[in-house]
This record gives sequence, C-alpha cells and structure tokens, in this order.
Amino acid sequence: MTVSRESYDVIVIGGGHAGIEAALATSRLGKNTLLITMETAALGRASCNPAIGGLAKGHLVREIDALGGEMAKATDHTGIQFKMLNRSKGRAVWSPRAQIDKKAYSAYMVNTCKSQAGLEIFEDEATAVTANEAGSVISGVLTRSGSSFKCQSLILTNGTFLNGLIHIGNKSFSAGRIGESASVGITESLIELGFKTGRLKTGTPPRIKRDSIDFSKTTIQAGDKNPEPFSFSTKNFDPPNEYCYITNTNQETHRIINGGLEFSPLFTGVIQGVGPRYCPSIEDKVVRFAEKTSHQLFLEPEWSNADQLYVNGFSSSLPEEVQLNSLRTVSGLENVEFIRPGYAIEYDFFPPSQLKATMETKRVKGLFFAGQINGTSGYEEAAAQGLIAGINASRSIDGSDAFVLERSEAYIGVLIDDLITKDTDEPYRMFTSRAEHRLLLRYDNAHFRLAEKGFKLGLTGQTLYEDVENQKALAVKTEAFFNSTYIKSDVINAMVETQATVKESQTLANILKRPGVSVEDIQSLLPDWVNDLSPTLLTLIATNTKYAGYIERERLQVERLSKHQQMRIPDAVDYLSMQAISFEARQKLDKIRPETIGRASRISGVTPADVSLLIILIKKNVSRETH
Amino acid sequence: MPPFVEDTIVAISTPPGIGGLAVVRISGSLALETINQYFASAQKLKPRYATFGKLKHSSLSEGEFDDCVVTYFKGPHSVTGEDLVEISIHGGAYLQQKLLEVLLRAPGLRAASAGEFTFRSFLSGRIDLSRAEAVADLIHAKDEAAHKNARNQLLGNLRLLVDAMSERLIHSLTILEAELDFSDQEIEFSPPQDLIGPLSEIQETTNSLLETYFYGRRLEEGIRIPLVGAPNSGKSSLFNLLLGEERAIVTAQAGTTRDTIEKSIVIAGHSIVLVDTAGLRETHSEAELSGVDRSLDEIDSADLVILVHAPDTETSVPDELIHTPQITVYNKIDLVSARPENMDIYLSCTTGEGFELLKKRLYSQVVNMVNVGVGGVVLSRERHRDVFIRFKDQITVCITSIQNQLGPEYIASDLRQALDILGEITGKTTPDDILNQIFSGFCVGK
Repeated sequence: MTVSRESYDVIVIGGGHAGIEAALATSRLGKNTLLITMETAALGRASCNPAIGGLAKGHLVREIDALGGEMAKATDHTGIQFKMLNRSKGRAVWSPRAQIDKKAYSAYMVNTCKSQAGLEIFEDEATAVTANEAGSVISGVLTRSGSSFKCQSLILTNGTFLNGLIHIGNKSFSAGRIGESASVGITESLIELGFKTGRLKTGTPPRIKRDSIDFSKTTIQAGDKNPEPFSFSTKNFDPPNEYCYITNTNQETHRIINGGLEFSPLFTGVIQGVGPRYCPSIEDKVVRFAEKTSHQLFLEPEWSNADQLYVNGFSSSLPEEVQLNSLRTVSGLENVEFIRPGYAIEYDFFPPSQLKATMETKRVKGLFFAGQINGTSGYEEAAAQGLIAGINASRSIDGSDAFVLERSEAYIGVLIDDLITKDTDEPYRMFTSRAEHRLLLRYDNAHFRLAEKGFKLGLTGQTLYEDVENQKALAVKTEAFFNSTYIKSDVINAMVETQATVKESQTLANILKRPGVSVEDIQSLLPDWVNDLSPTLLTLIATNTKYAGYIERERLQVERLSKHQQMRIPDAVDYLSMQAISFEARQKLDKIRPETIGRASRISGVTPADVSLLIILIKKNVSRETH
Repeated sequence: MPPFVEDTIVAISTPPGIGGLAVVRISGSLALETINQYFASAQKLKPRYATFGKLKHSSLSEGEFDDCVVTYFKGPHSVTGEDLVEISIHGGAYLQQKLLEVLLRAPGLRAASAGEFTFRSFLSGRIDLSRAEAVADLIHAKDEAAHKNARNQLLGNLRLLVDAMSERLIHSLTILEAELDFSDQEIEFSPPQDLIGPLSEIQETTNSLLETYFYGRRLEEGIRIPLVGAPNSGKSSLFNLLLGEERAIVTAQAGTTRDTIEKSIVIAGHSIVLVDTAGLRETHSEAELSGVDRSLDEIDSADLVILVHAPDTETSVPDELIHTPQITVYNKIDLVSARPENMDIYLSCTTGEGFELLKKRLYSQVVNMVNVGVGGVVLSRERHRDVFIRFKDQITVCITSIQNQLGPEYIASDLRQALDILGEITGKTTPDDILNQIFSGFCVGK
C-alpha cells in the first residue's frame, strides 16, 4: 500500500476493538481517517476468549449499538452461540453473551473497515507520536518504515502491544500477542511529552486440539433456543447454537500446579505488572483459594466447528509442561494436546487520570487514548472507549461541544468517569455493581436511552432511530394504559389464586406490581393491541411498570444531584495552596485534576466539606480574574 | 456535610439553650409545601410577610404551638436563594427540639449539617464574594470542630458502632452483588431470605440506639438538675455549696431576664447544669407568678430534681414532678430535732452534715442515668437521630423486599440506599468497597 496523502484529520493507531470503533466513528463523521495497524488481517482479532458480552459487558455492547458503533452487529453476524445471563433475575441485570467465530469476526471487521468511505488502512508500526514544540498540541506520527504522517487528532489504541513482554514459565520474550511483535517507541515518546506510565499484566489460557478431547466426560453447554440479537437493527435472527463443554479440575490438578509454582513468573516475582483479580490465573486460584478442591473449566470453540478450543478458567503462565501435565488430570482431557500454551503478558499503560472525559489527554491537545492503554481489560470496554474517543476526536476538529455520557445515562458514562477519577491499579473491568443507577441502565432500554443521542451525533442510522422512537411511543401509550385501566376485584381474585384477595378494583399496573406476578400472568386481561407487541417490548414495558417505584427512586436520586456537579473547574487551579482543604484532598485533587465538581466529589479521600470549600475558592478566584 | 444534593434542609437557627424565642428554618424546594401541612392561620402565607397562626398536626399535642409567626421567603429572594420558611415559636429547648423532630419526619426533609445554610447562601450569591474567605473559614472551622468531636468518646464510640453496622450491611450486600455480577460462575449463593436474620439484628440495634437519644442529648448539653422548693428552704445555700465543692466550673450564666440561675459543674465526668429556681408558692403577684412559671418549666425539662424541704416551710410537690427522678432533701437539720420521714437526705448547709451522702447519691444517680446506651454508645445529635430513623425505616423496606421475593438487584438497591443513609455519618461506601469484599471472599474469575 502506498501513502496517498500525508495529512489526515484523524489517525488511529491500532486495529483492535477500540481502534476499529474509533476509526469507523471518525470516518463516518466525515473525517479523513488513517488506521495504522501492523497487520490488516488482524483487525478485530480477539486475543483472548472467543466471546463478546457477558454480565455488564453485554450492556456496553448494546450501548455501543445505540450510538452507532459496530461491535453488536459484528457479534450478531459471527456469533455461534447466544445466551442471556442472569435470566433468573430481574431485567436490569440480564446481560447477553455470545460465543463468536473469531475468524469470521475479524473478517467481518476487516471488510467493514475496508469498505468504509473516508477510512484508509496502512500496515506499519507506529514508533513515535509528534507534537508542536511546546508539546501541547499533537501533530502526527512516525512509523518504523520511515513514514511521517500529520493529523489534527491522534487516537492511540495500542492494546497490550506497548513494550509487551510475554511470560511462559521462566521464559520471557518481547511480543504484543503470541506470534506478533511488540510495539516499541510510542511509550518513550509519550514519556518525553510528560506522561506517566505503568505496567499491567494479563493472561490467557492454553488452546487445545479438539480431537484430543474426550467429550463424553464433559457436560454440554448450549445457548438459548430463541436468542435475542445484540443489535437493534438485526432482523430475522437465526444464529447457530454450537456447544461449549464444562469439566472440572481436581486435587491432583492442583497438586501438580502447586509443584510448578517455583517456575511461575507470577510467584517468583518476575512479573511486576498488576493483574486483574476478577480474571486470576489458575495458579492464583489454587493458591488463594486452597480450600476449593475443584475449579470449573469451560471448553469453548474458537470458531465454527473449530479444531481449536479455548480453556476458559485455566489462564496460566506456568511452564508449558506443568500446564499440560496438570490439565491431563482433568476429566475428558487425559490425552489433551496443546496448540499453544497459556501465557501472561506485561504491557505499558497510561494511568487514565491523565484524560478528560472525552478521552483526550489533558496534557496534549488532539491526543486521545482508548482501550487497554488506559488500563482497562475486555473487548467491550475497549470498544466503548474507542467509540467515545472517535466521536470526540471528530468533534474537537469541528469545534463542537464535548460528547460526554453521565453516570446516570449509560454504563459507558460509568466506565469513563471511573477511569478518569480513580487511578486504577489493576486492569479495570465493568461490573453492574459499579453503576449506582443500575436499575435505570438496563440492557433492554439501551436504545431508548441513547439512540437519539447517536442520531444527533450523526452516527446512528435514521431507520434505527425511527424504529426506536416508534417503540418509545408505544411504550408510553402502553404504560399509560396499564396505569389507567381498572380490573374488577372478582376478576383479579379468580385469576391469581396464590395472591391475597383484593376488595376493590385495581389498575393493571397495580396487579403487575404484586409480588410474583408477571405480564404473562395477566395476558387474558390485555387487549390484542397490547398482546401483539413484540415480546421484547412488552417485557420492557412490564418491567418499567412493575418496578416503577424503584425506577422513580433512582430517577429522583439523579435529579437531586446538585447542579454544581456540572460546575467546571478551571485547568490552572492551584490546589496545593488551598489551605482550607484537607491535605489529603489537596494532594488527590492535584494529582487527578478533575474537570468538574461532580468528579472532584467522587475522588476517594475528598470529603463533601472539601468539595464545598473547593466551590467557594473557585468562585472567588474566577471572580477575581474577571474583574 | 452530605453529598451535593438539593435536599430541603431544616435547622434551629437561634443559639442553643433556653431562650424566649426560637427560630426554626426550612430551606429548599419542599419548604412551602411542608409548612402548609403544619401551619393553620387565617391568612395564606405570602412572600416576605410574617403571618401569625398556630402549628397543628397529628404529631403535635393540642395547644403546644399556638403562638407562632411564620415568614415565607420565595426563592431566589431569600437568604439561601431557595424557598425559605422561618418559624418563630415561643419556648425553650424542649419545644424547639420537639418542632425540629416533627419537621424532620416530614417527607424529603433532612437536618442541615454544619455550615450548610451559609454555604447555600454563598452558592446563591446572597453572600458577597468578598466574604468567600470568611465562609470558607466557617465551613473549615465547623468541619474541624466535627473532627475534634469525633475524637470525643461519645462520638468516637458511635462511629465504631456505625462502622460495625456498615460492615455487616456491606457483607449482606456483597452476597447479593456477587450473585449479580458473577452468576455465570460456580459459586454457591445463599438465598436472600438468609439476610433477614442479620438485617433484623441491625434493626434491633438501631432501635436500642434510638432509645438512647434522650440521654445522649443530656450528655451533650449537660444534665439539668434544678433545685426546687418553697422560698427560704435553703436552695441557694445548697446551690452555692454544690458549686463551691466542685472546682470544675465550665460556664457561668446568670439569668438576666428570669429569676433562675444556672451553672455548670462536672459530676462523675459528666457535665451537669445546676439550676437555682424561684421558690414555689401560691401567689397573686404578677412578677412572682412568672417566676413560679419558669420554675415549673425548669421541672419540665429536668432530668433529675433536687426537691428541697426545710422546717417551717410548706413545699407542695408540683404535678409536673410525677415522672421526673428526684432526690428529696430535708435541709436545715441543725435548726430542729425532729425529722420528717421518707426523705432521701437529711442535710445542714451550715454544718455540712449529710452533704457527703448527697454527693454520693448525686453521683450514683448521674452514673445510672448515663449508663445506658448500646455498648457505651448514646445518640446525642439530632442529625444523627434523623439518620438512624431514616436508616431504620430503610432496613424495614429491605426486609419487606426480601419477604416479597423481589429480585436481588432490587433488594441490593434497597440495601445500597440504607448504606448511603448510614454513610452520612461514616462516609460513603463505594462500589470498590463491595468489589473488594467479593474478590476477597469468593473465588471468581475464569
């Protein structure tokens, strides 16, 4: 490929889940975009598990779809097993998950990017970012092959590649992923610009040969029979339903793992980076939860009819023979053969408190970070950041307002707000418990919450937006009907026998609110136009009605938040001189330099009294400057 | 100060103590709506007008607040920039406190925290920016004072108790949250019904704690012990003797507009407000009548009364004394040989006979009085009481949700709400606190 122009509106470095969403967003918003990747065929490659979605992550994927991103569509097109998690619980915590065909997923993304107008792909390794002389405004990128590109916005989505170092037992070698080179130079040029950096660690389990497994000794795990798609625009959804298999480790497995710990870089101290607690290696689990005699393992196909399976639950950096010997004690895996062993990887990240809520760095104008470079883990977390970085990189060129989602609006809002107000010391993953307005942020109302915003941004398509608006109107109409339609007491008492009898007639809404009553139970009371609504929409409406009290309470909590949450803090504010504020708070504020009062109030160690004082001192300073 | 929420807040805005007139202020969007539920008057409340009337409500006794003046300031034309209502009432500490407690039960209202009215005035621009420093100093000072208070034993113990309660709640919440965030893993989760036991225990502790509030306030303000008796029964001599014996006088406050004198002393490490009252007797003189009235008021708000009898005087025991603990003292025993029966102490202020016994008696009464509470913890602040009442109600909501078999995410929402309320005392519980618990307690992660 030759370089057609040397200057672009936007350059994205990295073609992972963050980079793809960023590049697609900027090009769709009319910006000349260059995506620099070391290998075009690796666009959208899933480095770790062959799955998208899951608890809380499924919410992110739905939100990305509502805002015009690509991940949900790609998953619907290439998924080979779909499952709704937490189905036994309420809608707010249902979360879709899909096993994907990794090869098809990557091919879908390569194709989407290649056919996207305004997006060019260039195969090379970026080795340095360049800025103006003051180091305050980004100017472009240098590459390994000697090319130099100019741009107005630069989005870095380098994943685990920056000075990546793979560990397998006592062997360590430089790599970005297994079989791919690390990226060297970017970190150093960022340090030169004044950025702080750190090291994190993550890991992946072995990949094993299908024909070496005795599936008769495992438990089959299938997906849902009538699954829901991730994307609102997917119609006539009829995906495959391929199996995963469950088996378990035992005490003999653990004995072998314990015997190999002296060769584990995790326990010998060779690995310096901090790993995620929610995604521990098998050796970590065996040591920390020694009382557990067994751990579950999931054997997941990496693509349709794959000859290669992913051993979910067995992430490890033990020497290959320890991994293999211990795995061979597991039922069904007695003769297992590796395609490749599990490994751990250490990589550079940049503590995300150096970012604004737009994903732009505070230090260098026009420079954006998204994905694992910010210390997150997960495809979905990366894609969400990439999308927001792309949107804002484009808007900053236009001189438009920042696009920021509040914590009460989206999981994406929670994700980014958490990143920039906390200094994470372990890879950050989304959990539903991180969202204080969890009951408002359901996976099934993601489009109701965000499609309009996506449409106004220019990313969400008109058809999708109009479909969502129509459904919204139907929901409003149906909820009003539930609230205003009374049913006679004798009808109710005859119908729901297990419930306490009522003396007076009740609205449909009140009947739904009774414990244990679902919309299916009252179908006979509903007119055809309600029963004819799509089951997905009807369930959404019923959830809104049944838990109206809870939803209203959370809505009020959001409303009660002071308007001062939005108050902006000037960039140059001198926290250390604010004697009235506690010492601890001053230091934290100085380190994180929050953009708004709301974010200041969420920094640990900053008390409400400190925040009041901050407001006073800022108001005073602002008035002095303007007089 | 609680987090930045636009709540409607309420506080007594006149200095503490027994004053003739007290002002209680409500500020925020619910101010007018709230006062309209309590205030009965011939006129409707009009912005910037003082309206005379009475406070009537099922939670107030008939006639308690008959003469009130309510002034309504419509925001932004008020000192806080919000809708503001000032209620002026006649009466001492008891009535002020009563009104505050009743108002705090009104939906949506909470007790203002230190400096909060001033802060709101500042935010609304009602306080000049040139005074920003002064406002900052005020909040800083109050925050410091609160921290200093937190070191005193009373509040320190409270904090420990609240921390322990938070910990138990977080533990309950952790079980629910782990189930929500890690249900795809092989963890055995206990059913939410198992949480009813621990929650009920927390509720019982809260109930016991709320019952200590009366004593707590006394410990905070000083235990009030008036000396009551007929004129010339020797109350003032005894008053001086008790003061003279105790060197640890904290404050001295002479009644200027009333003929009671009060001084603070320390007994058994606790602050005592000793009150010398006007003599009780039937009278028709206007001036004397008002003195007697004030003595009766004192008895009303007393924690313990020293009832002084003496030879040749007739001390009728006022009806008000029926429920108040008392020590009966027969004074001036050096003047007579015959002693009436059924007195606790026989005393001579002149010779000092019986004084040691009286002191011992006082000491043990005070110790008994303060030796209540939950593990040495008593509630002493209205704001804390407000928090615990709301907390208790919220725990009831949690238990009901579990009984109604709501999904764990709804029960978790109820529990988080309860933790947030408790957090007004100890600071907020963050999602990271919960996740840390999950990671340390469960083997999660694939």
